Amino acid sequence: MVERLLELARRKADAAEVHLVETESRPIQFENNDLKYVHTKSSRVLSLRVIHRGRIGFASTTDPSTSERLVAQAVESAQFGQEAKFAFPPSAACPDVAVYDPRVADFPVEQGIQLGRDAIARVLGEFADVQCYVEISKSVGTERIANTSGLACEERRTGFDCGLTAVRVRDGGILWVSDGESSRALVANFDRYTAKVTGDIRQAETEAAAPTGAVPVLFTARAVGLLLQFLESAVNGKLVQKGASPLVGRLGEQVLGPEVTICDDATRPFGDGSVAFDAEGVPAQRTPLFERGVLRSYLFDLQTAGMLGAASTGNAGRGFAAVPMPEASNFVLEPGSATFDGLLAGIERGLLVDEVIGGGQSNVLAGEFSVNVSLGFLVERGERVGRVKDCMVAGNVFEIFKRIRGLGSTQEVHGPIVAPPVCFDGVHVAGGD
Amino acid sequence: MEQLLKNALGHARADYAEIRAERRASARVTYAGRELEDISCFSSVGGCVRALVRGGWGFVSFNDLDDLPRYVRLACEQAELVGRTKSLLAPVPPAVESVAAKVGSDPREVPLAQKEALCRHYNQLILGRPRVQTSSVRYRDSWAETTFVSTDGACLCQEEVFCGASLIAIAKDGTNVQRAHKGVGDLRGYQVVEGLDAECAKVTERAVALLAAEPVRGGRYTVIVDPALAGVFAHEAFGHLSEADFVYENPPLREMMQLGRRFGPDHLGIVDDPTLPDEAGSYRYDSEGTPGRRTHLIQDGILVNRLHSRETAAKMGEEPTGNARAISHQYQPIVRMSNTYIEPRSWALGDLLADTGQGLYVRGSLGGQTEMEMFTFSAEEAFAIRDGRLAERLREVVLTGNVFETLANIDAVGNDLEFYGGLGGCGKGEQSPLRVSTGGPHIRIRNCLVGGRQ
Repeated sequence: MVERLLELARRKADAAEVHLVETESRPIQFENNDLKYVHTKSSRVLSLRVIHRGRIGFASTTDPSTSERLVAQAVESAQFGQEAKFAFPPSAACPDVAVYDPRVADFPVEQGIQLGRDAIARVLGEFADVQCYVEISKSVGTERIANTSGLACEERRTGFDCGLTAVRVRDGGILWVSDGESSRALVANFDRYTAKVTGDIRQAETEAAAPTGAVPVLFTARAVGLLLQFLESAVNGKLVQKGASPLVGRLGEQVLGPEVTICDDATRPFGDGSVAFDAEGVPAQRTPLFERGVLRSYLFDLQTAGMLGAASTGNAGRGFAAVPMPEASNFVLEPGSATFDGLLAGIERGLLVDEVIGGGQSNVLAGEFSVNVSLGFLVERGERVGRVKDCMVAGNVFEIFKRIRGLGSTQEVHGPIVAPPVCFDGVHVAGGD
Repeated sequence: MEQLLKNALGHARADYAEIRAERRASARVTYAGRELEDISCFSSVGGCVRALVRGGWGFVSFNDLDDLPRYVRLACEQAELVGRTKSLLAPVPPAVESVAAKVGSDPREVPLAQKEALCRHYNQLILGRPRVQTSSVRYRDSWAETTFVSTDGACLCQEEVFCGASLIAIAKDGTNVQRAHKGVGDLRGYQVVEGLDAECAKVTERAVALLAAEPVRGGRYTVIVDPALAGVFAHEAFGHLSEADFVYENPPLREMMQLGRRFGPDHLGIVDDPTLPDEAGSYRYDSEGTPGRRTHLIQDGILVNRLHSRETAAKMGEEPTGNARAISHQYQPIVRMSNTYIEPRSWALGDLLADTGQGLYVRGSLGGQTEMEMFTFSAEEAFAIRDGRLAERLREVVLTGNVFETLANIDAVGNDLEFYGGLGGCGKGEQSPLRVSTGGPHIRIRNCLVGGRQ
């Protein structure tokens, strides 16, 4: 399929690249404490990118029998497309990255159902009045890329996603708590997540008024993910090339506090975003982005790198049937030396934030965030006092990452984000009333 | 095709089974600032089987249609694993019909070059204005033909053609960045994306004017909401709560959304209606083959209905409403809205302003979020109302509150119903975007909480 399309395209265009993704996934879903469905989904997307008379053309399909039309469409769109600032790469040695776990591929549906049932039973054993939702999904996929410069690569990858959400409705108030994991390796044991969820429900039973004003705020490893998304956007080569990132032209400058070291690492074993090569066939790598707060690099695909006279960092990603764009693989914040309890103990009066909603509404590019805390706790004299409701936290990510009180010594993995908990000084908190 | 699917269904050992097969083709053009970021075509073929055994669902989706009997058997096996009770589906007369799309000007007959030229033209209009920092112009069209057969005897072929565009202007002054947006998109045809020069001028002027606006002072206000934001409010804050799959297996939520409960004053009506001609959320049959129909959700202030699939209707002992929709063959149908709107009443905007005296006038939506009964919406633009007239322009106006309290505080409803479609659509679970429209007239909300930095 790939070779045939490449041959057809070679005859009509100056250069061509064929990209094929085939995936089969099997989600199992529990709703309201009961098994709701088992699905099997297979999908395929065949994409053709051409460079013709110096311009980029693109078309995609799920139907390989339409190869000739696909070539005609890609060549037609190249009349208008962007000027190509790159050549399709020849084949290169890729790092050996663990992305396939046979235990995921062989994971039987019955075992998934049992895993879900057990998790729900454990939660209901402690709290009979909650509704649980569980999703356990495995996937096996193959990505193939070939181009007219001689590159031909293929990789098989597994994916395992599981999530547990518990909803409790009490006195008109609603509490949602959830935990889970996305990995390329099997998650055979759910205990960690059920323990987190039941712990959260218990902790949330006591309520407290939110503090108001600029106070110390401890973000759990999961909540730090929200803040890291802003930094991820800021180093995205596309936003840099457009001049939209506040980090444009600041390579080598101290832009964050000296405690902050962040890299993008596609080579982490079984990481949710791990690959041996990116969506253009460029070998995956580990890219230091911030070293002790100093900006070291942006993330690039071939075209955006070419536009800025830089080299691809192997960060091309593709949305469904879409042209490649730069995207982070695994975004890793290096740990510090404090324990979580130590960070908490250092707060005289402040807030612990574990989950938020409303991430997309503020001025993301400038690093401004203003979010509703859906799961957070008042902290007084180093202790959690009670759950706060109707509370907003707001600030600027670039500013608060210069006001770090401490970084936790233990990283947690939340999908493609790897981070420790972080405590910041002077984060603006507003109560709801 | 129908016969092929019917034959495959012969392999089903289930209480109920269905197959949907789909062909799709779409084109898109995206300008971001000066760059043509994407111009491409996409086509797909695929299908899915859904089977129900003892109340449990199995679902299989695929791209190759040549192994249908195997997929049917697999869906039935999966349903066997899930089912432990009794299959319940509200009866609907099996639909046997072929529904062709009716468009004015068919986007498939318009050359890609012409679509590109149109976007470039709009983009130049927006970028040509002083203080506009950047722009976004997007064009999308899609054609879909869905064949649906079920063991109940349905045999349905439906075609749809969607076409739309989105125009965004972003103005900048130092760190002050403001944006304005206009979207169009529905089932009428290519003509909806033509002739938008005046809209380009309007979004540009609005973005630039917002630079000079003062941030609003937070607090409680009497707020007049324009039809665009009223429609988003009806859909996001209230509509999702009326989707039956949200409540049917959850006793506390079922109680909260009990039919007969008063949700607003007598003059409040909220409707979902896929039978409106050619709006973004219109259709003849939903993805389960149930005919769409006009459903009053709130009538005279009282919750009178909710939106159903065949399963949720049977489980709640209510009528199916034809609201089970899937965004493509890769997904199972779930309960969704179509064209959701607040019914118009008698107030003219001028009278409403005069009657209000002091307050805020808010227009358009920049997005928002809801969590159960709490909602937050950012208005695109806002004005103070003083002495019954529009006064200074304000920005960063975020409306927030409890949907039930807010519905009860709607004390006046305008006479100027408008519908808004566009490219955005609705997201629920993993299925996004689903084409929908939202609508309403101007409405007035008393005692509405507005967030602000001061």
